[in-house]
Amino acid sequence: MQFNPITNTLYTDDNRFIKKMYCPYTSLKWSDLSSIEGSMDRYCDICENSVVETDNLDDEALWKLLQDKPKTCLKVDWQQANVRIVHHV
Amino acid sequence: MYKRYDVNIETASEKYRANIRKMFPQKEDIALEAYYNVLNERSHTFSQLTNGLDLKHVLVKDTLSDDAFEAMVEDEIDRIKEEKKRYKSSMRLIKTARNLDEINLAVEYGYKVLMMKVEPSDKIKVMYSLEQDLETGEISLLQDSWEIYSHSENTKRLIDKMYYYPYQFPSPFAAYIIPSDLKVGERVILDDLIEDIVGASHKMHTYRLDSAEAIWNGERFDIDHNSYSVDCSIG
Repeated sequence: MQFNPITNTLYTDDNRFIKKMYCPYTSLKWSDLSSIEGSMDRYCDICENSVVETDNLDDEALWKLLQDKPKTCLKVDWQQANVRIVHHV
Repeated sequence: MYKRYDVNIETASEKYRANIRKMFPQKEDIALEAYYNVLNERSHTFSQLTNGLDLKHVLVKDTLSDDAFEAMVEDEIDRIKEEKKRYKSSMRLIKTARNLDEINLAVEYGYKVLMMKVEPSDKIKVMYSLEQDLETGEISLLQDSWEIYSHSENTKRLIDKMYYYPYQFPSPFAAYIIPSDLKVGERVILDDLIEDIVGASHKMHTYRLDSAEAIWNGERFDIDHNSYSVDCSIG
């Protein structure tokens, strides 16, 4: 997948829009979120929503997830192996 | 290891950090804070109990088990999380008007507006190169540092390792929309930061911060530069 940090937008490798990421709580770290037993995802106590770890998801799975549930919250680490940082998508 | 009252809290982090992370692999910073709090509390209790005593002649035996200490740290973690949740959800979001129409609409609705210039920072920049395939003539944009610093065969660099400011805004000015009941000293979240502050660096690129916590001082917002730490994107 491709992530544009300028627009905070996530795309598949073939340029399909996945999600524009937004969270006002910039001080929130992944380690602040509660762990969910048996899952790599975590729980945000502020928004009371799960946050999906994208490290092990492929483009198709992620794209379908966001098609079904567009408001799903995601976590994207810029260093993760399945993400490429781009500026012109 | 937790039962020793003579543990120095200042050095405890270096000695026990690795063990704390093993015990609470997904709670790291909060676990450390909780650990300090509990240890501090135990040390304070110990100080109160032994106040005035000549400790050379006193044998202190800690009867608190590791399990009990761990349970106290877990409880403290939950308390800290609850406190952080209440704190964060209590902060108001301050919105930003990015053009004259939005600004005047806010004024019409009775809000005060804090006008500011939109001034790009030269610390915020991303790098690119352009290269051309010598066989096909196709021109490609290189954005990744590995691509930029490597050389592909049969290509020619047209533009090499140039920095530019990548953000665009509708106007050279913007305004924070101030609620009429905003109090001096109130901590808020500036939802769409007007000021250019470096939020993240990745390889040769630096990006601006989108939002930050700040305190209203009556005239402007004092941004809390400890309120952000962008290690990944969540949203």
